[in-house]
Amino acid sequence: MAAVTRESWISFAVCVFTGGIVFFDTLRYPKLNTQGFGQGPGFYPQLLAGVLICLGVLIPLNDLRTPSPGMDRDSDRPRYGVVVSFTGLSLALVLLMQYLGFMASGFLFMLLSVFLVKPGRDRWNGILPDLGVSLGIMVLIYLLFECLVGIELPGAVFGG
Amino acid sequence: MELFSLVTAGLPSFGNPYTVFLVIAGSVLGIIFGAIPGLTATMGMAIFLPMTFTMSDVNGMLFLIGIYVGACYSGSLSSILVNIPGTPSSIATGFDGYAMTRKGEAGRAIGYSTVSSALGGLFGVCILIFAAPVLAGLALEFGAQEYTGIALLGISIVSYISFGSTVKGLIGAVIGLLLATIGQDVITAYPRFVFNVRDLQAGLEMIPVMVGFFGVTEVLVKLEQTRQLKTVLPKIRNVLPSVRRLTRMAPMMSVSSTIGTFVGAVPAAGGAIASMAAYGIQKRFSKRSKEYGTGIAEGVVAAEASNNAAVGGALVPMLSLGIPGDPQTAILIGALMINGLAPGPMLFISRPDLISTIYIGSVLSVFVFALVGLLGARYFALLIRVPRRYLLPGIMMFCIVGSFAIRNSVFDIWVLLACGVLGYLLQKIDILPAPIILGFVLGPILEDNFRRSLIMSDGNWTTFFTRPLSAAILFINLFILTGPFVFRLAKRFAGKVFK
Repeated sequence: MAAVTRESWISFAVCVFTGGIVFFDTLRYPKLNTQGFGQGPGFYPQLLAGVLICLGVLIPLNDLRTPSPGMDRDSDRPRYGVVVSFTGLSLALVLLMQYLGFMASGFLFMLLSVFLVKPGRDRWNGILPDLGVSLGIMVLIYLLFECLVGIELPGAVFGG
Repeated sequence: MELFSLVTAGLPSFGNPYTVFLVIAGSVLGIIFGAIPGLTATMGMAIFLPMTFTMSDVNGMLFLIGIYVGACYSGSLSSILVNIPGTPSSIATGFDGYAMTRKGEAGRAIGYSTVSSALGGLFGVCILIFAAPVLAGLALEFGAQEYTGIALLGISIVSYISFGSTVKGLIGAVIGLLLATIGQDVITAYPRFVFNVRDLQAGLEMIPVMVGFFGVTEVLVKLEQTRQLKTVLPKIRNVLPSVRRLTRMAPMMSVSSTIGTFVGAVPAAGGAIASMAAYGIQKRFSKRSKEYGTGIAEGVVAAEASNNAAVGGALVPMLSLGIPGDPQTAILIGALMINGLAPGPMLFISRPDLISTIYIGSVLSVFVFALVGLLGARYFALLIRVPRRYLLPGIMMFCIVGSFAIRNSVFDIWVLLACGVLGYLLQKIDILPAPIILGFVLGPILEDNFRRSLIMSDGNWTTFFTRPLSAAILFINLFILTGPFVFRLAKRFAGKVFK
């Protein structure tokens, strides 16, 4: 008998959860009588929520009807730790920009990201080129956006 | 005569050297983005879109079109040289292109790819020039009901042809539609899904959402990969193709270009599907059918003529209806909206100079990439070797600065990161960014016209079916979504009956 895959259950949960939140949030929106059928601002999102929930239900049903081959998995294990750390660095960059300025925080972000993305055994090799490239990219961004195009950089360029 | 006026209205813009410089710069940037595996035309356009804020609307559009056209061509370089497509639209090019490289004919493959891309691109622009005004004229007859149907059509098609299942494509589109509802309701001004966050009152800005889903999501996906492939580049020689051989391939190039243009005009189809379709059809009907895949120039020409012709095709619904033909044209719509312009039939009346500039700029971009490709392919090929450890953080920095630049708001950077992470997580369950973004772009069009239709008809849903054009569009929608399922059922039923 065909079984529902884990990805299908997750998709189902995402759809039902999202649709549910949207639906319940819109229940408190006012129902106005100025539009002919008086559904107000909540009508359209509720319709979308209903469609999303129905689509979510279709996914496991589809698996039961036609067995899914399952998602391909790469033979190399994905580096989820790098993804999480990189995302954390990005969040830290946005927070630090207000205090250190864009150039300093951006340079730190570049340097730490370059270090993070390298495979473990090569991390400490080529630190000088990494420093140079990180600085070069920040200078390029400054020249392109601030000087050439005239777009203000976030968090003030050099702090403050 | 009217068509002639429309085509030439933008010529004075090209008297400005800065405008010409932007077309060339955009094309070169596009070639760089397309050549590097992992970077796409969409990402390049999304990252550089903020740079157009300080440009005029004409210059901004030309710059982005240059990137679009250049990237659609140059994805073939890495596809041919190292069998890693630079952009999705170059997958089919590698089938014969890489085989030619293994036979020591890398230069010839690049030459045929460049020339066929250029000719396909010019063909697509010619169709654009004739078809767009006709479709725009038809669209002037459209009411709110028809626009509702057209928006639904875009969503149906993007879901149907999404890689992965149709249902997952639809889910992505509905998520995009829901994201578009955040902020003040357009009719009643009631704040929806703002959760007491002041910055959400005006809704989500298009640029951080697009750059988040197309740029940041891709960066996070690429970060997962454990190693960068070491690429050994072959020698590139004898790039210029034989004129006699090209002339013999002219009918084949025309057919591929036609396929590419019409597939490109289908919302959400794009160059990837166009090039696959053209390659498959040429292989099916060619006298050298068995040789496809072994390294013949015809294979490269079939794929590349089609993928660049799709650019012109994608611009047809974008300009005439305001419906994106692919993710790249969704970004072009964003660029128009930033300048206070709405794509659609009225643009042909209010800004014929801009329409004309887009035509001429597309042609100029084709000539730029053809020249650069034929003369500089061996140098651009070196881009394939850029280390990922520098590329990915650099792209992230560009994404962050670009998102901030719209309103000088740090909140937009948070939106960028949130969309990037959401896109990454949704990709894990096979819900791809393209339907989400198309849903987000089409969301305001769909809601506005849908609700206006119901208001005008006092809540009577039959208004969508009593207007013939609207009914026809809705029928096409239904056919696209349920047709394959119905055919399968009918086939099974017929099989049982006639057993």
